Amino acid sequence: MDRVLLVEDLTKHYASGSRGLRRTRGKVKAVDGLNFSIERGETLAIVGESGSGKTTTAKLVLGLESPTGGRITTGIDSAGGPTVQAVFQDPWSSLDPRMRVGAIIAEPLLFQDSSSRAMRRRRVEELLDLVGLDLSSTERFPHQLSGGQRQRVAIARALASKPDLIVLDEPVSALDVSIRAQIINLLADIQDALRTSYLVISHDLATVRIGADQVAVMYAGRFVEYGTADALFDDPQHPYTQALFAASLPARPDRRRIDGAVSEPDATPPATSGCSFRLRCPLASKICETTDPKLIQVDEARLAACHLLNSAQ
Amino acid sequence: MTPPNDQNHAVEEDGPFQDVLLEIRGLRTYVASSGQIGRAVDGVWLDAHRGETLGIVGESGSGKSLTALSIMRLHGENAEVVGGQILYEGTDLLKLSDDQMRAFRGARIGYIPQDPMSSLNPVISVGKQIAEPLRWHLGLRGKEARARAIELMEMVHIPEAGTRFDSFPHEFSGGMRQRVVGAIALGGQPDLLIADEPTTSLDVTIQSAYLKLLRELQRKNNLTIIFITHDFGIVANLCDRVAVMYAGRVVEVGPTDTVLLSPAHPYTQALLEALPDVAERTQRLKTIGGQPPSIFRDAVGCSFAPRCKFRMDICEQEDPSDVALGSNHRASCFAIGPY
Amino acid sequence: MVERATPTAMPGETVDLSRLQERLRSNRGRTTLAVVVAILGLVLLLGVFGGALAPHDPFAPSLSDRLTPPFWQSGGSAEFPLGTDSLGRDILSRIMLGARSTLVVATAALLSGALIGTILGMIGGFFGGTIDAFISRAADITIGFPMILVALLFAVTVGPRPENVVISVAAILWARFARVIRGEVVSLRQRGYVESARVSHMPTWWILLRHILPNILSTVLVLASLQMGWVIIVEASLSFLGAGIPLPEPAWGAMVADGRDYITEAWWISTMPGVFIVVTVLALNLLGDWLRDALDPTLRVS
Repeated sequence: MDRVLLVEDLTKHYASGSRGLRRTRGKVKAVDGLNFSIERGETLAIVGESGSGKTTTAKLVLGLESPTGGRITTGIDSAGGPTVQAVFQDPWSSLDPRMRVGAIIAEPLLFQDSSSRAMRRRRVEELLDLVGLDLSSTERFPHQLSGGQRQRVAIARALASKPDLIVLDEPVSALDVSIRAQIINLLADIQDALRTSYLVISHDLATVRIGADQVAVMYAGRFVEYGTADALFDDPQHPYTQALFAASLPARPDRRRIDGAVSEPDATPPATSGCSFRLRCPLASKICETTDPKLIQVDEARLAACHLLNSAQ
Repeated sequence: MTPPNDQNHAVEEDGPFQDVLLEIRGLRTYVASSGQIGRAVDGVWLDAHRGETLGIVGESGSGKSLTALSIMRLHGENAEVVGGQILYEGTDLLKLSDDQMRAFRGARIGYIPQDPMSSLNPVISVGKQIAEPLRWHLGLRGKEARARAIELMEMVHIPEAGTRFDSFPHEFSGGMRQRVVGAIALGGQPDLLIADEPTTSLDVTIQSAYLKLLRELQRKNNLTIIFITHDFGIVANLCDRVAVMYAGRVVEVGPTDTVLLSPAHPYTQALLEALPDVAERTQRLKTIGGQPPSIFRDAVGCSFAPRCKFRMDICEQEDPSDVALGSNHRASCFAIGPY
Repeated sequence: MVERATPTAMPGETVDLSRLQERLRSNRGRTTLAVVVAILGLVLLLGVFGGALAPHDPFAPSLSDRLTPPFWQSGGSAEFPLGTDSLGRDILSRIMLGARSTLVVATAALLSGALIGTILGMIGGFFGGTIDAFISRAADITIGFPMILVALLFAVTVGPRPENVVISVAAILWARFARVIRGEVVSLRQRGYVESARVSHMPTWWILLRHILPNILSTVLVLASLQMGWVIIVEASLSFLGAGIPLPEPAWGAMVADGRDYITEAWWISTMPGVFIVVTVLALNLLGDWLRDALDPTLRVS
């Protein structure tokens, strides 16, 4: 058991003022009591739509925001900081346009005691090789690279300080389809070679299918289903998970489903009492209005938060 | 590159859509940027048949958006249509005056752009924005315009249309805003609707509903839809025919089922192989090496040749000609033998 | 500079590149830029060497030559090309020397205001919270102040000296910089590369100097060139009102004031320095506009 991340009861509340016409006074529970862990060399994918809280979760794990409650435990590096790095969604704004690629990749190493210029240079060359970029890239500026190349730079930089865990927030959504495949393969290769763990945040189930070992489906700040990738993909149990699957359109005309897909013209906001999903759930019943379902083990491969699944146990 | 022969217009045995509404012939739209001329749309031949949904699929830089903008003549100042014709029921749109084109837009061709926030005026109520084309193109005023606008809002399933007439764009969610944009586009009762990646910023469940809505609107209003996207999933579920664009040209076009199940062009094949599938757990995806060519390149030969695994000498010397593959399906590639 | 690629048109197809080529060739105001740079270069030259190059002693009165019109009018002469004032001093020489005091004071005021404003804007924008609220409120209040009034009050209480002009201008100018820079920094803080740096535990001073500062520099530059014109006008106005650079230094504004009583009979005394003020400020504004256009689009991906 070599754990690189342990998250216990993670909560993040925002005080919502009277900003925006529809915001009510009080708290916005962006993240509401998450519990999960990641082992070395493993990939956990958190899947959800906008407003689910998945991006906030990423920021909390990265230390960009501080939790309102709960605890995050990661490995500690030689400088006393957590061994977590990040790759962000937008390749156009995740690299400083005024820095050269070599400097960007070497930046995390700058304030480490043991680094010298020569060492950093060597490390940069190693990393460029690892991500499949030409050595001549060191002198280039980001705007001279394509989107896919920039993401490779971002990955190289994330690997520079040899982190145990990399948080990837929608790492390929902003890339062209043919480039996505390259980056997904690259991430898989790196994981095989270095046993780096990944926390992948995504809204796209298909992308996540490739490398995920564990998958958590997030809705309104909580996990509604959390288990092995095989279990969730082969047999999604929670109604929301099923809705997400039904709505993702495969590129196979023999598996057409648009007219049968669960669809919603408008994003119904989560309910504030009982089960947060009940206003969108085709199976909602009396108990769903009054009681909040807990996330519990419903079979050997997963946890889910749904009254119907609990009673079926 | 030789233009397609009249194969596309010939009466075919198994195509449900015969009547051609829009013919794009040899469209070239070039852009001026950083002291160079870029060949963003470089010879597009494409037809849209009445009543069908035609998908135009491609990656960034393929020229798909600019093709749509060229039809509407809404490309910016830095782009110029330098050649070709766009025939709408026989009228060449490129030869119309600005005033004539303005009358065309909205009344004959509707347009749904990608980002609803930038196409809706934040300080004007939604109802008024929907009523605007009604005034312009149908001459409706006051109460009539309002009533018709509310009808349109109901047609796109905006709940409580009567009260929401006076709401502002920021009071709607993303999916609803796109419906408002749809209502505006259809106000003038156009026959052709061009949708440029309208669901890119929407969540999947909202996207699902929106696509269903488009299908319903198409049936009710006898619309022809041209749908620009990069998402093959949408194409598979929405489009009757699909055109694949690469480096400013159409490399393959045909019925959706045919193109997706038996792609003829190497680019289409490679692209489909690179797609992750929700249903299959694969460890590695097949990729296409290299990158799309710059629009400023000197073009000799097939623009996909550098990345193509079937590349032959001739591919780098000449432009590939169109090969007819039966039932309205064609692709331009030297490696495809005639059937 | 002209197109490289030739279109692969087919026989019978016509391709018309003329309008595109025209767009590429357009000067885009290149001549304007050259003129602007020339004017500003000249003013700068005068500022540095004006005193030495002046044909006459700007301070020496010569009552016999008083109120001589410019050389193109009857009664004028080439000896005093732009005429003389009520004390017979050569206007051109005074303008040339005056350039220095005007420029020195204006530059000092601009630099101080820009420096203070940029630093405070960066701090407020990056750290947020109470300190940001404090700085923003202070800036809002300052911007509301009528500049001239404050400077006048200051001059009346403390006495008219060039240093005081610098202080009072800087005391108002900082707010304009602070507000703009703060806004930029707030949005920069959310950028991927800044968040990346934070995730890598780069020290705050490093993030501010290496990531924030270089990316706001172009904004600072544009704002500075646009504000410089305003600063010159303020300085000239203060001198005009007697609250700026005191005699006997021939500041442009003060020269305009000198000619007040002689507007009808000797219009050139006020007008000549006035023209120099207008042209300089105009050139600065045009430079600022050009800089803004030149620096912004490169940062955008097309």
